[in-house]
Amino acid sequence: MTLGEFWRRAAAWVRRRDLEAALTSELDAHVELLARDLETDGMSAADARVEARRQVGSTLRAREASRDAWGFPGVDALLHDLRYALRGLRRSPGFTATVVITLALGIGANATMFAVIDRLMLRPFPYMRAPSEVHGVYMRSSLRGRTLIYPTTSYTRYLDFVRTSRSFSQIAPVSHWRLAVGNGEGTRVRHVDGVGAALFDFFDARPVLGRYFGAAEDAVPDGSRVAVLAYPMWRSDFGGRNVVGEQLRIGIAQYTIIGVAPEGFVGTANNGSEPDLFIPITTVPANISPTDRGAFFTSYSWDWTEIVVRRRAGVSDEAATADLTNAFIQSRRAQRAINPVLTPDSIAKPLAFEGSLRSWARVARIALGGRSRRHRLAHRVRQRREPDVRPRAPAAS
Amino acid sequence: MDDPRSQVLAGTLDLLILKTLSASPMHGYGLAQHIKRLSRDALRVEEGSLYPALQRMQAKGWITSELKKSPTGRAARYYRLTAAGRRQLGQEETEFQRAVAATMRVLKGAES
Repeated sequence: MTLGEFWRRAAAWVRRRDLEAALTSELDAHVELLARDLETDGMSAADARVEARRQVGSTLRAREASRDAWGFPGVDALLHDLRYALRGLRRSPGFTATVVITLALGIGANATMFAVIDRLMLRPFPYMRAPSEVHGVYMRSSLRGRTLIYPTTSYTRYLDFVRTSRSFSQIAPVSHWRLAVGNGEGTRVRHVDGVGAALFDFFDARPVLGRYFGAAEDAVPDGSRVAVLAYPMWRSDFGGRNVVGEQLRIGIAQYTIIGVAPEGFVGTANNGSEPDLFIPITTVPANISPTDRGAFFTSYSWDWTEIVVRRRAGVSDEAATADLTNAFIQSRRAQRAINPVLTPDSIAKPLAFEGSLRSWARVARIALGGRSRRHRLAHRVRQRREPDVRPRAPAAS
Repeated sequence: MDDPRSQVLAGTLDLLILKTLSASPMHGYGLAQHIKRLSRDALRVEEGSLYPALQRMQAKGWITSELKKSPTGRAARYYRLTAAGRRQLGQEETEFQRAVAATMRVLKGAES
């Protein structure tokens, strides 16, 4: 069908009632002209009329066949079927309700799944620069015949990785917490991300107010007690006013608000655990475990830090894995100096590699059957903190 | 008993209408009579086919129509060939002649 024909059919469809009336009148004229000719040939007026009507026959067929030229017969047939189906559904409301509910549930479930997959697996973290270069670091080691893979490690190990690894242009520590935030009756349990100052450099996200914290405010042994609010909390709890310089109780300490992240900024948090605020990771130990905080940057006994890296251009999967594994082995060597009973490398077979920052992506890879060794390993990631020392010796390390 | 006059051969109705309208604009009854007369009563155009064909050809843009007063004083719809219709006529004539020639070759071959 050409475009011209489409428009002519569409125009005819709009005027189809007028056209049908015109056709009926045209067929009547046809009968009349034929009767007149038959009369001229010698028939009586009455006979000529009857004969003409007989010859032309029913005009219904001609009218029905003409309708095919007015509009779109396929669409008309579909509408006809639809009307027929609707009449049927109206006659049996029980069946109709079942069909409607089944369809609604089916469509709803599909839409929800798509939204979840889109949000959790496909869409990169908001504001992240070149997200394909950014990964989480996972570690694997064996203990008593069990192989464990874990995305969290000690802050000390993170410092070792910063010192030893060569494959990354950026590296930052991240930890997720739920802490009481606020004063008095306004206190609520909030998602608080303790992050390294370097994390903000992974993004192109200018604060809507104030600033982020810098490396000087995120230094061992104690970072500065400063906080950056996430946009939703700033709107809901502070009405979007200028909060820079205000004090806010987070956990057991008072923090000074220094900035507000832009709308949609969640750092590297997964769906459902979007942070309400960000604080320097080096202020977390004093807040979480004030009596046992002293050695968080020298001991290896507290696995609470995730490591986020941006791979340098031109570094392959294999080279990154080799580099991370080497950093892991060297870090374990340093750990063994403190804790000599650490499982020997020959048994632990330590390996460190890059994986997705999306927790659901790992689950999906299990379902889809990942191809690369990196992905196969990621299948078995344990979300809970797993020790890589034997025996666990918190006092000694 | 069947009418001894042949009905229009399948596929040739469009060609006959286009050819007839290429001489002058005509209403539906005039078209049917013209074909009947020129074919010496050998071809008969069914009204049930003629009017749907006219609607279809209008949709294709080959013909247009307008209401005019006929010689009897009654208003009638006159159909007229468009430029696209004239091109279509050329194509259909060529195809029809090719089909007739091919059919004739088969018939002559079968006789020999």
